[in-house]
Amino acid sequence: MAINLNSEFLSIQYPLSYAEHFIPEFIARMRANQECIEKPSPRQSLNMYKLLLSTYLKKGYLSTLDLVDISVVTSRVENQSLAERIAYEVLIDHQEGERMPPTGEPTPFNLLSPKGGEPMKVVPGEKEEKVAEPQPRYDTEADIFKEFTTQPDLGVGPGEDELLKTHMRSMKKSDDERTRRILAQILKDMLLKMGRRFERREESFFNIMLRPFEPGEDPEKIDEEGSLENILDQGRRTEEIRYQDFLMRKKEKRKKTIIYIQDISNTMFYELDGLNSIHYSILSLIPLMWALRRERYGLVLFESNGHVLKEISEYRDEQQLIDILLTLVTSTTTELEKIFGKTRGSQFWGGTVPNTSLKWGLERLDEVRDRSEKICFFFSDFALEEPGTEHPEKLENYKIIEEMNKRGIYFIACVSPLAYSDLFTVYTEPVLSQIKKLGCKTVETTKPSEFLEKIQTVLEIF
Amino acid sequence: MMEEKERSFRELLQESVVESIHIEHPVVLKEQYERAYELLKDSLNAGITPCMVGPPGVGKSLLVRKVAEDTKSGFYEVFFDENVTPSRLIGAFDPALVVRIGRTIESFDPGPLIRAMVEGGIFIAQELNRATEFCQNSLISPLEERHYYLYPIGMIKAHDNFAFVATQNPIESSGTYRLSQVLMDRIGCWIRLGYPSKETELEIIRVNIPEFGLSNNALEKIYEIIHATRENSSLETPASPRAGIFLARLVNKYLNKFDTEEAAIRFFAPSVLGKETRSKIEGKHISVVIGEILDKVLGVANGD
Repeated sequence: MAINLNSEFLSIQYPLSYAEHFIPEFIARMRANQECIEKPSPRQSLNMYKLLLSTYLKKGYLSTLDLVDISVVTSRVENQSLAERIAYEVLIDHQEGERMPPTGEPTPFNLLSPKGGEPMKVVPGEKEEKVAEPQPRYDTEADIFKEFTTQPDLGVGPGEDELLKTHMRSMKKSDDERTRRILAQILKDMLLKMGRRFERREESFFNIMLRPFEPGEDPEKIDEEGSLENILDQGRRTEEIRYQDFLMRKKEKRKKTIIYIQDISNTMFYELDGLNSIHYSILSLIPLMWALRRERYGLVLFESNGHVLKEISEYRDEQQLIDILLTLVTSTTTELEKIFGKTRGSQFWGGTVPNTSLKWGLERLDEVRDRSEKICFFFSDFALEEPGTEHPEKLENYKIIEEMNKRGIYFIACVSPLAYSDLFTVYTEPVLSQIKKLGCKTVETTKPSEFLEKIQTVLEIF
Repeated sequence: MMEEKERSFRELLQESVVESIHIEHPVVLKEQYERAYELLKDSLNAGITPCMVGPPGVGKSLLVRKVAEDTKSGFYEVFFDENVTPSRLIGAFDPALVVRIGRTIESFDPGPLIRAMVEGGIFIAQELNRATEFCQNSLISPLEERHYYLYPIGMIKAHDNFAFVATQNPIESSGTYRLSQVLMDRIGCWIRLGYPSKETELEIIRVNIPEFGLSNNALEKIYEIIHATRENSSLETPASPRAGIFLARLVNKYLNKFDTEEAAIRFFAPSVLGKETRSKIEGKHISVVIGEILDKVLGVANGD
């Protein structure tokens, strides 16, 4: 005969005594379960008991449904379905071998009806063999270690830059499409995590302003020097000072409008030590873009042609954009030509001609008429010219960058480390020196985490 | 003239001051609401901090307000966002008074949390998962230890009737963050509220409309439209019961300006739903999605 555990009439004999055994058993099983996000603390046990007691005092009895309900509501939202399952499991385990209640009448649920009031024994290990995966011992210490071993953190730390590069190399080497896709997904997660960390430090992007104190504000943020000056300027005596005379430091975040320009010309695919300039750029561009995704931005790729992936005013799903950027590191130039060649095929593929993209960036940023900070991130190896030649496009590049400077647009050159290799310096040195002469900042993309830190410093200076 | 106007405003302001605001309409305590209401009361009786979790407009705050009213407790609320600082909750010393009399009880301007702790009332932290970590940390000792150290006045002990209730939208909602582990651990009861069943939602709409004069058919149609937004995969945020109430109120009030109830629903629905819901399909405007829903529920409009 089956028992409906959801029945409100399935009341428990010696409910509080049973609760004393149900609660630790439930908590132990939750902690031992790998699906459990954030293990329950001893506080949850106390809360369960308090709530059960409160329910018992109100109703005069406790049903199995109360035990399940209270197990669920005291568990965090993300654990609630698991908690419900485990609560039922605990109840069912104890139910085995017990007397079945007669049907049709509210009978006590005599799971644990001790004769003579002797203490109950809870043997949590009894059911362990039923679980497919090996379970740890039910102690908190073991759980803590288990958490570390079962949920390895991809982490952002000093060794992460090397890890990212190694990961990139492994991804390239893998011939299996599925493995490459999995590796690309892991790489994406790692890069987005870096981006989120950078995003959290955005606090330092705030501009500090002074404004009058308002009731309820944090007096620790009163600018003492500014306030004193303000009070003296107004010639107030002590008894005349009002709270409005005190000045607060107010951090005001200025919005940004950003253009990302990514070089995908042939030279970017030249490899050194298993990595090319595209790899370096993408490892830095993705976390940066993710961190600043709430800002207005546009994105363009260029070689001989410009390929606009996102207009400033256009809505595009960031995840999709990032997936496209990740294809740059998994594709060859021929594959890229197939992907992007259709967009604007007026010129042959592969050259390094940034004029149209730079001009596009300048025009788009210039169209923005608010007080936002305008920034142009230019990711390239900067092999933009052949030494000794005087192409008109080359001069035009500098003119556009100069024009950006004049119009208050910050141009940040994000330079691949390969630009400093012996092979490329002959091409890149004059370009980078000219860019520096124009007063633009250059930041290397050698290590993604360092790149982000440097960008933060640069943005603070702005 | 201006002085007179200002004086008149001050007088009106004085007249408007009331001790507490009462809930205007009956509260439907059925199904999930009944359970949540009981759980809320049980948690507060047991000294456990509850948190109501659910999408906007399902009645989380109303339930807390109802508990406060039924238990005759004071009601203090703060809507959290990134601009709410601990000083807004706790209070701050008036710097002008500090210059004159120093940091004393007289120069301290209490915030809603300290007021609730001292006077003994329910403090509701609305949308707690929008609070900054700094702000979340300032809640830990009032929640757990039921005290707050206010420098240099000293330790403030909470009144026996002080209770803390949080509400939050699901973590997937935009602009929300996960609560810190320390704070999460101190919240002992997580009460989830979803969209109510049809019968309950219809009753909620009915009791929230003064001088209700709509036919059952119109009410059903309104519910079907609201419900369709929850089933539609093109919508990121579906319509809440609150949207149903707003739509029904408008239709109820201006019904005489339209030939039929359906015409009134068709006229008002885009304005009500367009504000609450959001399309998640790129390039598909929300008005198109709502138009499709209306055509499906009410039939294709004449002239289309």
